[in-house]
Amino acid sequence: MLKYIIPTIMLMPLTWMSKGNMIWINSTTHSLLISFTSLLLMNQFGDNSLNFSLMFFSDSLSTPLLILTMWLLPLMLMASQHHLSKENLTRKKLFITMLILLQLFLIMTFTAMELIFFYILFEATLVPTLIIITRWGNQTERLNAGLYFLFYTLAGSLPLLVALIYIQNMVGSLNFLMLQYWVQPMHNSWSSIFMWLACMMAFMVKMPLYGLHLWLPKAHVEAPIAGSMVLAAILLKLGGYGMLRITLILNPMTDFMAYPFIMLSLWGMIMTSSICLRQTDLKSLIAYSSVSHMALVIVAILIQTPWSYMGATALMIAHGLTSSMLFCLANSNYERIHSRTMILARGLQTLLPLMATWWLLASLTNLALPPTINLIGELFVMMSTFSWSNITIILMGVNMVITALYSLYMLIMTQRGKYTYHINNISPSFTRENALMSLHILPLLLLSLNPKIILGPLY
Amino acid sequence: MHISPPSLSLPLPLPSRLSRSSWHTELTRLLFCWFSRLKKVIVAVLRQVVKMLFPKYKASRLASLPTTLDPAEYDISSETRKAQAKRLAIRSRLKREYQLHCRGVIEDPALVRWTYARSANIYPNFRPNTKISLLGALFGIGPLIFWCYVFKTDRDRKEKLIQEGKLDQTFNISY
Repeated sequence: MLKYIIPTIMLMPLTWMSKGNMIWINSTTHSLLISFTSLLLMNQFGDNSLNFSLMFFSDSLSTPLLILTMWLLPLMLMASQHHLSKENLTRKKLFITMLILLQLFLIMTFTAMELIFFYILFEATLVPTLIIITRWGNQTERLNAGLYFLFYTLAGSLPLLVALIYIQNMVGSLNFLMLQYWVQPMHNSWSSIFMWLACMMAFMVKMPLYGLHLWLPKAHVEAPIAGSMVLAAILLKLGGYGMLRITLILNPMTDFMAYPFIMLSLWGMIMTSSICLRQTDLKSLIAYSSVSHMALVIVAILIQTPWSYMGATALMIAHGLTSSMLFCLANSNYERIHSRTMILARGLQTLLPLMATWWLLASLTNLALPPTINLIGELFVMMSTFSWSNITIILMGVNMVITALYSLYMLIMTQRGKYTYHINNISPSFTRENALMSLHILPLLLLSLNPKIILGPLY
Repeated sequence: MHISPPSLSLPLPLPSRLSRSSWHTELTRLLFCWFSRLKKVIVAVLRQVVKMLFPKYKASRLASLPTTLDPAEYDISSETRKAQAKRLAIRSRLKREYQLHCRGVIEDPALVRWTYARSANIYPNFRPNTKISLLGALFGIGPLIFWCYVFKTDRDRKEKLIQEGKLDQTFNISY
């Protein structure tokens, strides 16, 4: 595990000691090299986990998420080059340091073996993200967004700390390897109900669940592009990952405690998808679509069947890449017209045809077109919820239709039609932007050839 | 001494029996006469038709009369002309300033206000009266309770059938 942590820590002196014209080149290439070494994690045993030490391990659930995290850092650096070009050198280095710190905490979170270690790093990822959103965001609402983001997550996760310390006292250890064998079914009392709630609320807020999703549109919209990318791609999946780990110790109460959350997610899927159809702000549309996709993941995790777990993990990876790509595309729009309003820049297919290709691919993967992994995740979730209760097919079907509707609405609104007359002098697509989009879509398309690596531990 | 001969104007047309021309020149002159009258009639009819098909430009609700078609334009006093020239000078100065300074992104303040009102200014204009609170409870919490009830009864019914062994699970492959 040190072979990932130490190079990531050393990326920070690399940026601070690079010359002004080499910071981006150095940090991007070295983080790309680190992401290639992360593929070594795929060399796993069949049904057991790859234990590096008493503190770090990785199994087939955390491996795809780790590879995604490490893949995303060079992409974030490539995406941020334009909007940071006018800042002075120290601020640029500070920004890159925040990204590297965030990456470090995320790597350690996904490989944490001890649950309190996981919790500390879970909270620690909030700090660099908050700094990125409030310092480098573009509008005055970023302060409000940072506040909502920080305090929603903190308020949700404080009960988790209490619950984890209680479990540590009861069971003796929170080490994941040992917890698997020491777990006993919890008795059916009020305190168990509160403990279930305490354990799950942190991850529900992070996912986010429909009723607690207020921080997400604000944070996604106000964050700079790297912040949006990492929020959409990784930080939401932290909630899913935590839920998948913590449901191990929470049997058998999940059967009846999960009902309100399943209902909130099922109804919230449709609600947030419908709100997407009425958005004028492009980033807000993509943020609400993230809530909708994550609601599917929550439903899948809470019904606790093997197929639904497979669908949840596949959907997390697929949505990470797709959502990050959509935010990069929205940012390429924003850098040209300095506004997030969708109606201002229309008909871009005539002006930037290659970018229109990336827009098309991103929208198609967003609406879960076969044979992408988005469809595989959604299909698994739909099948398992259908076998959970036949009536869910109505809600899931309506959600899939509305998802297709807003994805195509976004595509047609930004790409097709006659272009608005005032954007005929926008700069053409940079090679950096095209490289960014292709590096997003290439793993997504290649994974549709071999999706079993992202299907998680229950495959 | 010069004597200018008197100018003679021939009356036309001369009666045919007074002229010494032959019958074909007479016929030509008659035809010419008729054709010219016919041409005058046709031209008059065509003018009327054209006037109907292409009416004179009138000012309408959304299109004012251009200054070149306005007959009053040609009688304007010199003071009005001077005022018009002054206004034109101000306008062109502003346009030149705008063109030289404001290149790049042009923001439309109406659009900024509209997006602000739609996205960031909702809560200050929110007032929780009874109607909106009841509507919020109905559409926000109502569906959740409804779906909770639906799923709980469906799953309990299925669980009961499974306990009794009556559920047809021969084709059950998903799990």
